[in-house]
Amino acid sequence: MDRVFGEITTSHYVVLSALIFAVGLCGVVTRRNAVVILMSLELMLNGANLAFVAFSRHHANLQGQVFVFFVIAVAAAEAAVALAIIIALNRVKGGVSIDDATELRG
Amino acid sequence: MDPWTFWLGGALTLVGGMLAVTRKNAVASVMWLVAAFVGMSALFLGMDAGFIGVIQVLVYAGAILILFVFVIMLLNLTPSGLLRIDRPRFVTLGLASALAFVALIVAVVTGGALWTGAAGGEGGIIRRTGEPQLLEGSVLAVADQLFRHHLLPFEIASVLLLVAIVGSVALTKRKL
Repeated sequence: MDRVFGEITTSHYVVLSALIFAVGLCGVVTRRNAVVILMSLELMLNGANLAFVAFSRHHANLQGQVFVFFVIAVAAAEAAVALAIIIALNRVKGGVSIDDATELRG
Repeated sequence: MDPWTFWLGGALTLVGGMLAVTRKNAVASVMWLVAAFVGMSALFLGMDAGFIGVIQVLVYAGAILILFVFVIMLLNLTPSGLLRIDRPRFVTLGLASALAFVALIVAVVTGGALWTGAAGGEGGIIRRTGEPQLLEGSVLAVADQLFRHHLLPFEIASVLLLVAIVGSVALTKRKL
């Protein structure tokens, strides 16, 4: 208990980042509204970012923070394209449920 | 570092994330996600990563999530279309995989000390390698690192954003 509630170490941040990632994972697997799935994905990216910054501080190396910068840039691009796809999906299928888009299942 | 920053920021992020994932109304989901990202920003600031903490609020909460709200409003998603809960058999599957993932990370971090009851000390793989140095993630330090060592990836990221803009316009336009 002392180790958990005492001094905040890098391990605390890594476990928290795993928890945030797991919450996002639950969202991606269970929801079927495409917009909410995309939001859960952003949450997973954020969990990874937290681990990056924690290890960056742990090793006193700023490259982890630079990587987070690039992750955020890619996440912005990904969100823009994915939302465009969702708009196109809504136009074709009349909804944003991913159960409507099953053509690739074969 | 201040433990309160960690506990409060972490609680806000986790609770916000859980609520965002479970809300039936997509707009409520976005708002809880904003709360989660603000908590995440507090965590970054607690780790002296000032620049990342600020762009977390500016870019994530300020730009990306507003884009989500914009699209939800644009599509005019009726709540009835959002209300259908969501694949019950996948809920157990999702919870199981999430639990397994967290258990794996905890096992790695603690070196199995939680299960074997080994006297803690230096368990796990995350050890201090020497004296912790002061690391200031200020704009100056990050910009120095970014433009001195990662200039090419930075320029490629700008091209990526340009491609994303053009791609989004091309995808959403009815007639090109």
